[in-house]
Amino acid sequence: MNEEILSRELHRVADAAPVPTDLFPPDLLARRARSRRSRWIAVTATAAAMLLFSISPLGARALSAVGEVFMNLKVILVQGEPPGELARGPGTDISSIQAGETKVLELEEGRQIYTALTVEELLEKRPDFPLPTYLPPGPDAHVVQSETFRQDSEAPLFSGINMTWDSDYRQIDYSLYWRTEPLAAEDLQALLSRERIGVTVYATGRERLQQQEVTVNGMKATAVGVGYTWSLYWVHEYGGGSLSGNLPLETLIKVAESIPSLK
Amino acid sequence: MATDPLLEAARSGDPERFRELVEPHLAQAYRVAILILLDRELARDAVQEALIRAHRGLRAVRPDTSFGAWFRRIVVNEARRQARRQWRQPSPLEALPEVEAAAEESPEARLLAREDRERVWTALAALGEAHRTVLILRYYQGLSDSELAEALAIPVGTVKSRLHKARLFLQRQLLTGKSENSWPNRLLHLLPRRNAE
Repeated sequence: MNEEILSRELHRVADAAPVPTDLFPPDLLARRARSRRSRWIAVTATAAAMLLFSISPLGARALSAVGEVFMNLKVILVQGEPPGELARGPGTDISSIQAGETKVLELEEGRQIYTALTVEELLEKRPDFPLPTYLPPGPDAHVVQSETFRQDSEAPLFSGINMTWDSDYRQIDYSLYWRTEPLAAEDLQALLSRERIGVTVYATGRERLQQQEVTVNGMKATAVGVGYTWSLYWVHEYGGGSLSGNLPLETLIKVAESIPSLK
Repeated sequence: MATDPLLEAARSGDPERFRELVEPHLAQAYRVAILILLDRELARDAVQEALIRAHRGLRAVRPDTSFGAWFRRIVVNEARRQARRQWRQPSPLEALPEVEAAAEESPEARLLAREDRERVWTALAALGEAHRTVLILRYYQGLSDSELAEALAIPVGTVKSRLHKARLFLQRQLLTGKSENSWPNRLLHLLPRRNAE
């Protein structure tokens, strides 16, 4: 490849692109830090819930205490894309939901209801919700509650909370989802293997797969993948969660270790 | 090192000072975002998101850091973040501006040049965003290996390796003239498609 030709071609096209006059509109900083264009974010809460939803016949009622979800915690650390995006189950554009708004997503087998909250509202509803104390979400964090229902049930099969916030300019994404009934051991195993397959397929396509053993608060975990965005992902019989960010792995582990329920 | 007075004023929360601070960098930021995303609308989103992040994170600019380089890093990160959410390979030939060939070129030369250009852009679009980004920052922004490492928060060795792989990939694509069987495309077939909104 002739480098001069490449450089010339990049300049030829990019420099000819007119810069929009409203690139920095006067009200931009006052707006919610969300893209105007519709963006799709399959949060782990949704995607993982849908995976469980698809492999488990169990009905459930909402958990009374979020802390219970951390029983028998198993952590898988993944370097690469957030697993929620890998799984890519049905999802909705949760980033565009403003605080106080609700969106309903109709599915073949059920429905999902998303409600955006402020951090304050979340803590009013669930004072014990485990938030990290290291690089914690600020008051402007974007928080979305999701509930997944089977077609024939009024009680949610899964509930979840996803939140994103900025630390410096790096976005951190934290999700928890939970269910009442424990997942059968074989279903849990199936879920874990499916998640691993998803991660492996994606990471292999981008670059060589890497793997290393790490520890989060004394729990052994495996780091898999490549890239500079790290995700920490855990699944267990009562639910699971994820934490991801464009952060060094060591920093992300510090965030994870500061989540009360992970201690 | 003394802090830029404009940066200091912007840090105090004055939106107009922030605008003054960032305005000289906007056009370049937008163009870099276009090249990474190969889509003008997404590029606009990425720059706007980056502006919001930069405004919030102004306190993180160290006195020994150039604001322009710091802002570019945010834009690049934001564009890459958006690129990773695009599961279809971008179509640069539809999204990018068509630049008229020079008047003195013959129709044959124009046709050949157009075909060559299409192959370059098709190959760039087939390249993964991580590799495309290093090429853009090197050949459009002219960054050195160490500047690339700083901008992308990766080791210099990784920069070199990505540049090498990206050049190799482009060479192969341009020699064969085919991108349909490239590894990114093959991989896409393995992945479930995201739902349309």
